[in-house]
Amino acid sequence: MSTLVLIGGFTLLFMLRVPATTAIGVAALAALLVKGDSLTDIPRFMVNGVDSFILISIPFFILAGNLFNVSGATNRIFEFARVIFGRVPGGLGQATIGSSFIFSGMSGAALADIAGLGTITMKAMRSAHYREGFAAATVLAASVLGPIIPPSIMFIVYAMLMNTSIGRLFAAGIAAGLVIATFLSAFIAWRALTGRDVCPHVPPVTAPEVARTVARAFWSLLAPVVILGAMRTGVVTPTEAGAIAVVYALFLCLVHRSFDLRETTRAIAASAIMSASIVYLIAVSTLMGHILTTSGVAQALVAAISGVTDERWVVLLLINLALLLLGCFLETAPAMLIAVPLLLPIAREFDIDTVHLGIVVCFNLIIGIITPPMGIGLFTMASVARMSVEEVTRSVLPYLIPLLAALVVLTYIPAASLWLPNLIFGPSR
Amino acid sequence: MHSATQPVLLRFFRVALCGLGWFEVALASVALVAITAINVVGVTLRYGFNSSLIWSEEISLLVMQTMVFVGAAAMYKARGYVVLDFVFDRLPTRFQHGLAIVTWVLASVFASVVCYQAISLYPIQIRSNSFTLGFPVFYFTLPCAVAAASIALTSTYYALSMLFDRGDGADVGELDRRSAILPYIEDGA
Repeated sequence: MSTLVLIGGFTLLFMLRVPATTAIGVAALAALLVKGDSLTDIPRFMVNGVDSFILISIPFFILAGNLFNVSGATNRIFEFARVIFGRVPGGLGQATIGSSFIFSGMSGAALADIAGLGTITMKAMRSAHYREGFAAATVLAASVLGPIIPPSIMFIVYAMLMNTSIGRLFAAGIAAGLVIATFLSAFIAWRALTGRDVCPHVPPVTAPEVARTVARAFWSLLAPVVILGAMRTGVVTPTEAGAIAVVYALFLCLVHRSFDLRETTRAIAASAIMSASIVYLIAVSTLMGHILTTSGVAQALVAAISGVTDERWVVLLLINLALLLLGCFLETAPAMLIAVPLLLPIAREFDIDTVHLGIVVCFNLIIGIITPPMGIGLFTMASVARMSVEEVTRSVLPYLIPLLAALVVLTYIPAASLWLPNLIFGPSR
Repeated sequence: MHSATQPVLLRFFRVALCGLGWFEVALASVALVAITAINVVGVTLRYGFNSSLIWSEEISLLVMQTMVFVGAAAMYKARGYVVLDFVFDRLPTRFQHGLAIVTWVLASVFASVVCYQAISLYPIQIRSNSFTLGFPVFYFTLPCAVAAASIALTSTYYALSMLFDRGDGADVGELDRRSAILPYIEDGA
């Protein structure tokens, strides 16, 4: 009964435009009253939900992403990608994928990519007479790399909920990012070569020009190496790596002579509030997770799935369909906080590697940010590109083909993402 | 921005909340800078001077609690929370106004319950201490209680503001934008 009150109450309230944190909180309050549990559980679980050292890395990576934007690194990375990838069929479309891949190693979120890189790449593609829809759709599709390539805020939350290794997840994220970028790149090349999109060639660049661009982007390109390298070598924990990313972003501001006290203060305030809103949602959801766990709903779900099938591929298909649907209607953070506690016993029952499942869960939910009706990426892109949401939606729909193809590969070929963590950390036990 | 139809007392309430909101933004920002500094100093000491700050993790967590809960209170004032619009937008306008008032009453009730229950933990938690620094555990709950009180006040303002402004024909989205206490801080993830 308490589970019904919790899930039914949350769904109803959230559908009626009640803020997610309030909807979860009110539904949990009602469920606790039905169960007859003490209401002091509410603040206790909320405080315990934040009491995790790994969560501190979330504000660090958000702040680092914002400071990287202030530092002008975004511009330099795009210039570098234009020089390196611009001659591949698809021209600036390929450069957009390349720069997103690199920038993702500095920021941890898709919207930072859209807001930061989107403005620059849209401007470049407009001046080169690319179709606006193509430009917006490419930026949007490439932004899914943000939460997949480490440092990834989604992976941090997932690792905390699943109690799995962040190092392994981050390594798997790089491998998964390569798969996704390859599919997107091939799709753009195919559209350019078959004339479905007109992608003017990027003029050839001379060797001195390449050298100049590489030199200008050098310190920015080093950022992912510094952040991930520090973690890989065990010099710092993922949380401390976040703090180092912030310091490195400030260093870039100084090196690029783009330090602006006003902009930096604004980035700090924005990061603090943005991080607070994500972690506060986690705090409230901890209460929901506690009620779901103690009421045995996860076990009931496992029993129900086991009753339908004992084939792992069918279970993965069901998980994919459920998460894709969930991702279409819910933001990634609340969707993950609801889904992951339910998926943990399923992963155990069907012997699914939690790192592999993490890639599948995160990628499914990220696709949701570029699909209607709740795709927050669509709204952000429409605002950045000054286009209507309908136009952006229509343009991005074809990109679901390479993204879903990449999802199938990542779901059914675990080695596609696990080869890298297995190579770095050894096979999982 | 407030509407001319709002009573003077409500306008005063808004000004007070606005001041509180900016204080919360400043406190959350300082907390973020402090956590960053503590961790950077920790790494530098460990690898540069073969020394360590044994209290850094505990202090970081305490400051993190402050940043998250106080920042969340500010986030409500900037209306930066996550909502689902597409069902709500299809409802009749009058019904939307009514639902919006109920939403904020519910938010206020929930936040008040959290605040009251957090304070009720005081007698137990003030006597048990944290592992490293021996702080009373209640220090970790205090930001939650304070922020919940702030969210309750903010929600009450939003409910009253919707009640007084709904007559001017604007839709809920427009009224929400008008009654936001802090400007929305756009950068971020």
